[in-house]
Amino acid sequence: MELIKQYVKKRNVQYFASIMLAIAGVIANLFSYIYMAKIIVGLIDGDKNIDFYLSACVMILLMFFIKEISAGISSLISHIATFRSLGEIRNDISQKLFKMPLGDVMSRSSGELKNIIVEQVDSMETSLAHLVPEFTANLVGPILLFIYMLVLDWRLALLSLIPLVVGMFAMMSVMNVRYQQNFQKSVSIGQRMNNAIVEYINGIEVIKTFNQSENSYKKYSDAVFDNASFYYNWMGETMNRVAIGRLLSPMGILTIIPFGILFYVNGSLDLSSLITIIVLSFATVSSVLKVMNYMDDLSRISTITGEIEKILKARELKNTEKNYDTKGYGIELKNIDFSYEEDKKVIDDINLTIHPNSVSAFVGPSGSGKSTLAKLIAGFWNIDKGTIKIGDINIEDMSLERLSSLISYVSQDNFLFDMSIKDNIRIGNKNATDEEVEEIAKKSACHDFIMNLSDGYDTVVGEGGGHLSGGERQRISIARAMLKDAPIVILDEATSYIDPENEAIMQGAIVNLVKGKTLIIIAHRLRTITDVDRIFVIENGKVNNSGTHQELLEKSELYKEMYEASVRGNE
Amino acid sequence: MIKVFKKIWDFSGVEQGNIRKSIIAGFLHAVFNALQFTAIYYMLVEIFNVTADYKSIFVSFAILMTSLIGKIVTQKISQMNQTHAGYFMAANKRIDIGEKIKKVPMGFFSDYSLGRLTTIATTTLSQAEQWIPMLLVLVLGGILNTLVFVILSLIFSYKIGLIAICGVIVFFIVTSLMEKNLLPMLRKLQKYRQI
Repeated sequence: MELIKQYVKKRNVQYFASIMLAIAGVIANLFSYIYMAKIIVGLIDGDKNIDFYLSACVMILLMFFIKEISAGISSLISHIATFRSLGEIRNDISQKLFKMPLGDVMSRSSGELKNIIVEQVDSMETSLAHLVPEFTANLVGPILLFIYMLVLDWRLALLSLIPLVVGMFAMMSVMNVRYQQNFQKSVSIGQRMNNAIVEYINGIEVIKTFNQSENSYKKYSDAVFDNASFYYNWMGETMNRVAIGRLLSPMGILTIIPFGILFYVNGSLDLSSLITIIVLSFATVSSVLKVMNYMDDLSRISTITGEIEKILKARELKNTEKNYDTKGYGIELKNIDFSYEEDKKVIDDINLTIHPNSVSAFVGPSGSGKSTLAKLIAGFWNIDKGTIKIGDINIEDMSLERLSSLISYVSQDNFLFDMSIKDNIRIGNKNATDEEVEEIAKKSACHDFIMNLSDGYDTVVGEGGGHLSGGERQRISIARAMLKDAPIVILDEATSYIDPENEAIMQGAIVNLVKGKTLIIIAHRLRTITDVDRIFVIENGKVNNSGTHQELLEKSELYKEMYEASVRGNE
Repeated sequence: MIKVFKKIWDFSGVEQGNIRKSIIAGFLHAVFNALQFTAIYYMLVEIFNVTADYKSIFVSFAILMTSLIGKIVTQKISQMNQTHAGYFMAANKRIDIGEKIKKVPMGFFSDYSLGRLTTIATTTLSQAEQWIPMLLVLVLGGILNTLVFVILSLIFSYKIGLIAICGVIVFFIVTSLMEKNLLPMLRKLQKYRQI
């Protein structure tokens, strides 16, 4: 509800106008019924004055006209406001994802995030565009009408409320804790199904290759049928009460007619008032039904907006909004601790200094924390203890934009967008011209293989770069990072898929490109990093040793072993 | 509109039985709904004939209660069948998609991107399962109510009945025009969503 309020407030003028027009529409509708009642009473009284009927008919038409026009404009205004708000909510969520620690984002499956950003935000449309103006208007309308009925005959007016009250109770009995639980369950079952679908469809290649059809398909089909059965059973559970509520509530004549006859027979009510009240009770039917529909929506809103709110209120990286200037691009890590899960330290009290404009390498067995260390420098997570400084400025004091402009981080698997190679490289610097893109590709030793693709630089790479090989994807990612021209470059196993010959060429190219920059390489094949300025050997989240290749061969047993294994592997 | 129903009908496959049951229950629902007007008619006849007494109170109440209970029972049957049709129709389509992509050659996926397939199996079908039952309840319910209303007016007075038919015809012309204008926009929306 908070969320709805917040976004309605942002556009309060529009929503207010929309509510007022909706009320005008409902009132015009009530007047058309009042004129209708006048006509019927006139007919029963035997009134033969044609002018009276004519003017009443004209009034009815006029009222219909006013009703449709104001309801239409009201709805138009509220929809424009709503779709703008939904756009804003989606934008706010994507902004938020940028500010959240990467781990918190990754812990949600992409199916779940997609469900929240697409479907759940979508389902707020009804609440914002319809509920706000129409719920209000359809509450005001019947209340005004009821006052009019009270004037005509207060006893019948009060009695006509009995079906409404009983019906509402039946309806309310559905909207209990169980409903909330069921609704939440429906959301999670829906998400589970979405996840299964996303996994099944996106994994179809692997599934086919490994003949996993039966297993994966079963998970998929179970999730699909669970979803359908759940909704059907939930419907069955509430159907009786909902049907009573929906059908009894608007049936004012259930009491009006019997008691009307009673009061007429004992002479305390005249026929014209009775007829008028009956006709007016029909005028409230549509309003009451609409209000009931929206009550259903109301009880859902908190669950829907809850998911969205959870994301919008999730913890953010601690970074400030300040754009400090760094003093050079040296990197200093002091006493840093970090863990993904509580009590499981991945980085344990690491101290290290990387000199500006130097080339360093992190090596270590898998799971040693070398890659985590690189991600911490890139600011993807906040560290638990200690400080990371770039050019003497704590990275947590920098804005994310500033930090991101300082560092080019290339990982093993970089996402390529489903657009041309040219545009994928241009992500590194959106102002780059085609010539600059081509220039950087040449310098990064990518030009030749790109020219061999069907459309050269205009080749569309497919979703996630699916039309390219892993090595090709990595080479484009490196060109992209080079185009960014950030003073610090981190290559996190960024060349691991590239075949050895091309890897050597790539690395030669990179070394040329990053001259005068601070470069950190995390490499699997140690052979490729022997000539860097300083190598840090990481083991169990600690710096085991550091030095040049030659120094380490002498003083680090672990390094020596790893190096020999690597050389053997390449023979 | 008829096209839309035809589409839903073809789309619904094995769920056609449920839709059929739902339509029959929906028709009976409309008949019970019209019954409440009989109560008004009865009341007026009793009053004009000056025969209104305590007995007419109970008779009118009995008519109204019959109408109400009939409506509740038929509503339940009709809506449960529609819900079953809507959700299981979508489930069956998801299964069809799942079966299909097990068998198609991999080349299929360069024409139909995985993203597009995922959107169809999640978003598009989720909308279908939520909207089709509601659509059937609202539109079919409305049509059946109108049908019963028109038939009854024709019985009472063919002149009034003919006017009602004219009104219905105008309504259908307007809605079909609206549909024509909306369709291209919806196609566009669908396209945006798949990006």
